[in-house]
Amino acid sequence: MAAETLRLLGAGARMNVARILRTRGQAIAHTVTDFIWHSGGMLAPILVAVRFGHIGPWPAEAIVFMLAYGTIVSSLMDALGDSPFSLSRRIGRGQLDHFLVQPQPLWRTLFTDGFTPFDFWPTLTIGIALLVWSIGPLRVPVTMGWLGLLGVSLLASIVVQTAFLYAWGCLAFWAPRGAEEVSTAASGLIGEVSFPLDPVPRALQVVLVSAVPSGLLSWLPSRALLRLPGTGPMDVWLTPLAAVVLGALAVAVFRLGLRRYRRTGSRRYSDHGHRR
Amino acid sequence: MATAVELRGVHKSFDRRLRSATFAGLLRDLARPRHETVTALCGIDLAVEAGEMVAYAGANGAGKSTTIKLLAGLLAPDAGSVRALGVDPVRDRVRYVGRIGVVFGQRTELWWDHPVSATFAWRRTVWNIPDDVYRRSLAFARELLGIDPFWSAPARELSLGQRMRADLALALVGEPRILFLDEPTIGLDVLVKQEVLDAIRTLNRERAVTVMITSHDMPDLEQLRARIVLLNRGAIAYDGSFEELRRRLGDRRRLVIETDSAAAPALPGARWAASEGTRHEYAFDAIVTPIPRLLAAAAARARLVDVETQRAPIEEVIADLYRDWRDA
Repeated sequence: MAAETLRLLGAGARMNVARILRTRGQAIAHTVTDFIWHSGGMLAPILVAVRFGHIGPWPAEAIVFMLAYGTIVSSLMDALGDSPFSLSRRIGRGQLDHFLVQPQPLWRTLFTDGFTPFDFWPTLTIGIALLVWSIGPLRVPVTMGWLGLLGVSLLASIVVQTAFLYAWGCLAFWAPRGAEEVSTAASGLIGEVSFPLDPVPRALQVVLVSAVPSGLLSWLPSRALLRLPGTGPMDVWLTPLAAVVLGALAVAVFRLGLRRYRRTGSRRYSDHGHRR
Repeated sequence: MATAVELRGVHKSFDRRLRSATFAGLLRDLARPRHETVTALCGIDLAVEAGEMVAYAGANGAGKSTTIKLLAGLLAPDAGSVRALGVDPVRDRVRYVGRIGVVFGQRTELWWDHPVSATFAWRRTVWNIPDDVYRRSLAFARELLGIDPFWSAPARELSLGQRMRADLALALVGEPRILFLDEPTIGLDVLVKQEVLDAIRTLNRERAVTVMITSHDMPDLEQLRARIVLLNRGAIAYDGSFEELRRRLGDRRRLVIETDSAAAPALPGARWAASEGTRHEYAFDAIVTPIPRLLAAAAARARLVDVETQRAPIEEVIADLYRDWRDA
């Protein structure tokens, strides 16, 4: 199963390399703008933190850690394919049919489709570099256990975002036209947070780690991993727990929607956005 | 001979939401949505033998594409059973779709911004096609469809005919046992259409690939010399050969004449169908009433300004056939 998945990811990576080599100018422009966009997004909170030395209980280095964590999550999400971000379009435009005629389980097709590892490595590199840099001044005890927790948290954040986008994207099963762009709207809603949410009222914090779980993409897992003041001993498991719950919900909604799709099919088709 | 495709008592219907055009109606619809049931397939029984070529024809909305979607594992029937290559296309989708090829005329499997060759390499990986099978089937497909001239061109730069040939060749890679072609000649010019139809015939004749092809273009399907299944409102109205169909239907045509009078002249051997001003339309069977005789009769009875004959539209032919059988 894993070997087959890797094989398909390899096919996506080859297509990615081929596109980059053929459209060098475009690829460079894309990478540079992506780099500037991500760096620019990180700059404001870092400058604020450096100017005041901290934001709430977060020292400047912890802010950098949180932003680096968020950057790694978003670059991995982008590299892993555009299925979560364009699910509603694919369903709404009848393009899911193209996936269903492939002799692969649908989860594998969705997981591997659009894999573009070479588009996002600069952003990922910034994320990893800043994360590594921030750990030193923060005096984080980097043990195998802590690194394992970091890996689990990153994976959980990716699952949370994917599940959130899938759950919303599945609306297109029931309203192909009306909800065609819901994935785009949902991805705007769950964008990573740039500032710590600690000063935010408690009720809003709860919303931002549940209904709109932006806080789970960097803020809450970073706070738990760095054991900042106000962190409970079990907080580091909140993001993985949310990933399990949201993941299960997304799978259930998707299966329900797919059953409907099998029954009703898609009566509209547009190739727009399909394998460009 | 083994059965490649079998549909037994297949029913498929869809819900359609009805909407009002007036504001009050829209509010009413909001409070109490109205739906109607559209029957796409109504008790279809069909068996296709391995190596057979079946032309699946019917008017728009007759249920052709729904059948292809059922057979491609994209849709499940409401009632009845669908079996192809001995399996249920929906339940055994992964195993099944690796052994079939599907081409939808208005869709493409090609990667838009990549050369045609890249999509073939991608398919080889995703379909997990063994090296020897890939080499053999690719060589056959490239020669059969003549795709070498645009093998390295980006898909977005292909003409519609080239795209269709590439899509068809792509479906042949991996040596599928059944090929489902949904309107593969739609929008193609005469020459390319001929090439595509020739390729389909060769494929069926030389490789014994079972082919199910849909179209509402009867002359195209007739060229394939296939068994023809005619659908009308979701039911099979005819299943047999073209020769038998022609014998039953005759050569149904339309004669449109423009005269200097709004009164349509009565023409022996033709049935008046409609008039619009001084333009009059008649239905006739060209075998029973030869065209020259009918034109002579028209010229004798009216002052002709313009004359035009047309083959009766397939929708009308099918409807007539269906009416004939219902009345029989």
